[in-house]
Amino acid sequence: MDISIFYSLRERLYACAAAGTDSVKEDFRLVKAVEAMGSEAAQSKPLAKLYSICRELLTCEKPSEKITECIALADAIAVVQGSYTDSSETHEGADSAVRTDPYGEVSYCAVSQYADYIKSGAVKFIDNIGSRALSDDPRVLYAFIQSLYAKKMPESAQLLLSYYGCAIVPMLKSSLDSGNPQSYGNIVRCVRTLAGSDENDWYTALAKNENIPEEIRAAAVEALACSRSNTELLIDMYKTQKGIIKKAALSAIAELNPDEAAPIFRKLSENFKDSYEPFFAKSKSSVVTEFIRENKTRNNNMLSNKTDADDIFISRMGYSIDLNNILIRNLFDNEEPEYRDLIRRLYSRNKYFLSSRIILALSEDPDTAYSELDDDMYADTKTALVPIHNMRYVKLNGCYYTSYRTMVSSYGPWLRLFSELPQNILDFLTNTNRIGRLADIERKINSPVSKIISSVIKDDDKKSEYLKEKAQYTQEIEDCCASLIHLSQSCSSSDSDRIRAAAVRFAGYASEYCASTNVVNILADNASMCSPQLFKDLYPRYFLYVLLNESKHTFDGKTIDVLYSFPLTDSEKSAVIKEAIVKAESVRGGKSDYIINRALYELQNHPLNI
Amino acid sequence: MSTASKISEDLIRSSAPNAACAANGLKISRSRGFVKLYKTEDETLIFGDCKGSGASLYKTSIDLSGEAPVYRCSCPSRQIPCKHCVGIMYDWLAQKEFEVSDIPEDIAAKREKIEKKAKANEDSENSEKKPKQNKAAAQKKLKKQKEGLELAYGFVNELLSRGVSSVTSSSAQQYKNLAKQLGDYYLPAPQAVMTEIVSAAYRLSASPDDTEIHRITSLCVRLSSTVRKCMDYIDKKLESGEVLPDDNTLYEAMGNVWKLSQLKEIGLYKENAKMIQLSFNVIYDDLRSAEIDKAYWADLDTGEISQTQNIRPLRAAGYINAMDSAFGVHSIRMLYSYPGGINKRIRWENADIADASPEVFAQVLSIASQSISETIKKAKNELKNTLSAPSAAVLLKFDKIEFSDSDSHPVLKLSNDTIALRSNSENSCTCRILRILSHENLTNGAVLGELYYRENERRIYLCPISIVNNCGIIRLV
Repeated sequence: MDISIFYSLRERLYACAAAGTDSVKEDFRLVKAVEAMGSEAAQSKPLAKLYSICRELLTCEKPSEKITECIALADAIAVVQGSYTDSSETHEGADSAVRTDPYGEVSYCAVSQYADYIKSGAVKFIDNIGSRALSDDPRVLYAFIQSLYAKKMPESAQLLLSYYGCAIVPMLKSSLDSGNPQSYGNIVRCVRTLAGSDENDWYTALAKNENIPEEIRAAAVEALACSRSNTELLIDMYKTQKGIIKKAALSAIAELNPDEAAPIFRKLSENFKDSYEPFFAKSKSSVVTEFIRENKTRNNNMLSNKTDADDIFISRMGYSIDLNNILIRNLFDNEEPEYRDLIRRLYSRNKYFLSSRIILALSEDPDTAYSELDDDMYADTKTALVPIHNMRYVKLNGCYYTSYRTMVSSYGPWLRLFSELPQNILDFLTNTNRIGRLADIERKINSPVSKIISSVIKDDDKKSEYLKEKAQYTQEIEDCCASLIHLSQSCSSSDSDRIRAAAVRFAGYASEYCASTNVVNILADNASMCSPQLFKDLYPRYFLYVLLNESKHTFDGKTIDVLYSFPLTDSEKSAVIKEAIVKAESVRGGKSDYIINRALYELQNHPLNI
Repeated sequence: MSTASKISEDLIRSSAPNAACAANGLKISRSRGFVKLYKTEDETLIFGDCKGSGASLYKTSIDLSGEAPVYRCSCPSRQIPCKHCVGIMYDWLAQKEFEVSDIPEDIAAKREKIEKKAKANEDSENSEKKPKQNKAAAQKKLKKQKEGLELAYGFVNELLSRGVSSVTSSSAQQYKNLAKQLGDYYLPAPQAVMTEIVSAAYRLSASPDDTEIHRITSLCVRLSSTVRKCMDYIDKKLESGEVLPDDNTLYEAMGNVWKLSQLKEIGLYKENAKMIQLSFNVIYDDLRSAEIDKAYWADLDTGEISQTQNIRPLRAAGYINAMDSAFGVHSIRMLYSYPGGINKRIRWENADIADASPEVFAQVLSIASQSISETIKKAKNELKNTLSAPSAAVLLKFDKIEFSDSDSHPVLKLSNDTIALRSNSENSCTCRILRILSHENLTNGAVLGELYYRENERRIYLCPISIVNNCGIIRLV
């Protein structure tokens, strides 16, 4: 039986329906197909039936009614004729080295939500869900691999790669869709991150393959920087290739920095263009350092990956771009000790490089990082707090990470730190010296001598100096409390109690001198750890603080919410609020100004109806 | 009677109408949205006052005294439970302090009313009396439906006479009006197909596309076949006088909706069924403009593979609870099934859920089909019917699943037979996920998959959805 005759008839029936059955009798190709079917009709009953109704179609009055019957029968026969056996040569699946647990009973919604998080690439979501069952679900792993197909590498990729580890490499390699022109090189970059030079043969094969998308090939050429044995190939590619492949080869040469790189960069220096900047930034060549030193370019990004450039860094400290970004990025990208030494040398010459020095200390010995640089840290609390404020515990990996978003990279690298928060960091945050200094200032401002001085001598300068210092220490305490709040919200469960206890102790002491928002928030969030008397005292002072600092706070429903969370009765709250408003009015010169009116309005209209 | 101790993360997730509601509820809990929290002494009721956007506090309560929790809130949201109910449940989970209080009067009155109603229902179930069914109304409806079907038949014939590519803007408007009219004839299903045909055919006139022409023609054939069969069905019913719904798929094909009482009336139910969910997916149905929560279930006694469908039309998406995957063995007192073929649609009201032990998975494996050819034969019988779904779900044993050397597509091997596995549009990435599994997972198990016919290749493929083995169920979707 020639089954192709049947398929050809079916095709003609569809074509006839598309063109309109009004002209069915003139459709000679359909007529021919029906006639051809006649010879096969005897083979089976369904074919005979089809032949019969198709003949009726050609002669009937209303072919539009008949054609649906013909197509329905033809479709049914086609299904019955459908084959299913597959005689392909096959091989077994992956071995069980990849970290997956397919039996985790993870729901569809949980997987979808997590897959969306991964797709968004935002790191903040990754540690929101720390369930091992979810992270190890094969559907989630698949979603992660899919996310690498985006043009831009997702920020969360680095964390997830470190979680899944080298076992994922074969899967990444097999998922590379080199037939898709929209594919980018992220998969190759991920393989390089995990496997380094172990996959050199794979990069080489991709780099030489001219039939795959250029983006993938370029990523493979860049990955050839993993081994010095590729120097010759890279130089050859740089000389013979064009476009992004040539650029990728130059980038890899810059990174490898073989002897052959010097003449190339010397030549490029002679006719420097802005488009060379990324290659000059990647280069470790002394030719490039010399080029920058000669001040031929003022672009600081080009200082990346340079180790013998102390004088250039020092001379460019005043530039708008933060040189610490470059030094920190060097730490993430290079393992050589020269980059660490450079930071030490620079820091010993100028405290401007404190940020880099802290990150270096954290990467080398987190247990002493904040005690080692004690004095400088206190002198510049704001800078010292940045790595703490960027710290997050990633449940997935069971580790704390910190980031330092750099201007030369599109996404911030994540520095793996420790699994338990070192005590020296907590000690730094809760050091009561700051409160002691604030107390001294308070005493000076409120002492009878000071009042006499200010009324008799009218030493306004002295008073404003005190107030300035008071504002500075209050702000430092606020910043420390903000970091404590951040840590308590993004720490491991085993560190949680220790951080909360330290934060409450610190905030409790600080509240005696400064009833500011973060101090109060810590106490309100941990009300069960405080005495009710503390809140009775704190309530009017915080209220007053908000009313008197309208530049920093808006008195709205949220302020009342914080107040409401204090463990006091409604009547107690009502009484202290009224008292505070009277006091605020007196402090503000008895004028019923905007902020007080606003506070009264909010209180009257709040659902609590205090 | 259950108490608030029943509240768990799972309960919240399964009862929240959607993920956004659950997230918003959590936000309310974390931001201390509830200013007062109370519970009754026996902990069957938790309630509280929650701040909202309005001037007054919302009164939220969760009554757990009945079989299923009753969610109440004075907020204007039409979602049940609303985010405030979810919030108070999170507050309970977070072990916040709930003050012991008496049950509020209004809730006590409502409880009493529910109890009375439940008792009345129970009495009526026990009594012999059957509810009276209005035959005259059913007959009138059938006649009206027939009129509508004639209109649809006229439309499809006209379109096929002129050709599916012949729709212009003016004729499209006329056809659309006609499709709208079909709504007056209790024919929502044919109406949806007709609307889709008209819109697609009109789009086609602007940008011709062979695949789309083929799809529209298939839709026309399907509509025509449905209409003809339904007209015959109605004629027979009117002739015989048996106008009430019966065990026939055409009742639903016209767009009628089954009530559980009707299914019970015609004997489509099973008592004390034990079911386990094999897969869950949310798919978008273009024709119905709806999201469908679709799950396949295995009957542990009979081995039948059935499906549940929770249809959520987009226009009402906010008001219909979305479903999620279910785990464990469901003991169902009364399992209702719809008329249908290989994968009947099922429904139930209440189920007791127990953890699935390795014996249960072994039982699922034992009910899997042991022959590829037999399974294909059964599926082909289903697939060749114009009115049936384009795929048939089967549970098929395998010795091994391996991967083709040429393009890495998975191949299922059982005894000396093989079948290629290829994902379909509803489960588009399942074959790729199979590659992530280790070969131990792909040896000596069973695959739940959808058999479907791929026209351009003239082949039947199996789209894998889940893998079952002695350790459990591996969901690929």
